[in-house]
Amino acid sequence: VLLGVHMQPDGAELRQMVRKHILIVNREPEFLALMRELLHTRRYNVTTTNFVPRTFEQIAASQPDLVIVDLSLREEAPWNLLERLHQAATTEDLPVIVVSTSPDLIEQVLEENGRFGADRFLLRPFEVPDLLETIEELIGTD
Amino acid sequence: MSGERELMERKHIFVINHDPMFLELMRELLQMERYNVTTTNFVPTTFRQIVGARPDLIIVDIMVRDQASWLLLEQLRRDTATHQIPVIIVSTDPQLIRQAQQEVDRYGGDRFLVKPLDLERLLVTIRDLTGQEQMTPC
Repeated sequence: VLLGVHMQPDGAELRQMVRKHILIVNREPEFLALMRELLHTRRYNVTTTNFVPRTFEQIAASQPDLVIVDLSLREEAPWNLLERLHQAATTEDLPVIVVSTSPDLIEQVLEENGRFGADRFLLRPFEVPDLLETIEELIGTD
Repeated sequence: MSGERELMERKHIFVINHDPMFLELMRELLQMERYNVTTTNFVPTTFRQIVGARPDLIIVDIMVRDQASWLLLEQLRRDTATHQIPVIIVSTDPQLIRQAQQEVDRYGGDRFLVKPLDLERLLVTIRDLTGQEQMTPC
């Protein structure tokens, strides 16, 4: 019998189980590392992924509390992801924050937000308190 | 968008660990080696994420006071949607690695590595399990 298998989860593990889960989609390792560090210290569970073919399925299957998607000019995948998240019955209610370093792209999503369904928009670089406030508005804390 | 298509065709590695530093160091290393990477700390939905994402390889960190990682391994091993995905089990504790190896029928695990990881060995192991070629130096 393995140590750890038959014991009850301890307090720390139980607390972690009920924490909110944020999934962040972005290509840049540095940005993802900073986001993980920041949100981890704020007691969120965090998944980070660069765009992979099945990001939509991953999100639909795991139902995170919040999705943060980074938009860049050269990539189609994040736009498709936003559209699918907005259209699919299983994900249309998931809160989504769109972030981008490009004010034009943010503008573009805003104009077509009937199609993309984002809940909040943040221009990068953003102030950490702005991000945390936006997250709290959408999903609260643990 | 040929660059994007190339990115979509890369192998996808799913890394599960409690330590934020470890997770993002793994991301940096593996993205540099042209893998797609998802990292997560343990959450109740990790198994479902994996079923949805169908990664090419899973790396799970095991610790003593952590039931979730063992349960996850068992679930991955049993479920028909996941039992063929290769798994690397890592731990800072050699004794835990030995225990996992002894119960490989229950917890699976294709390779076992003790942390701190020898990165070259890790990359060779990953290439071996995913079949991705070594990246050509630019």
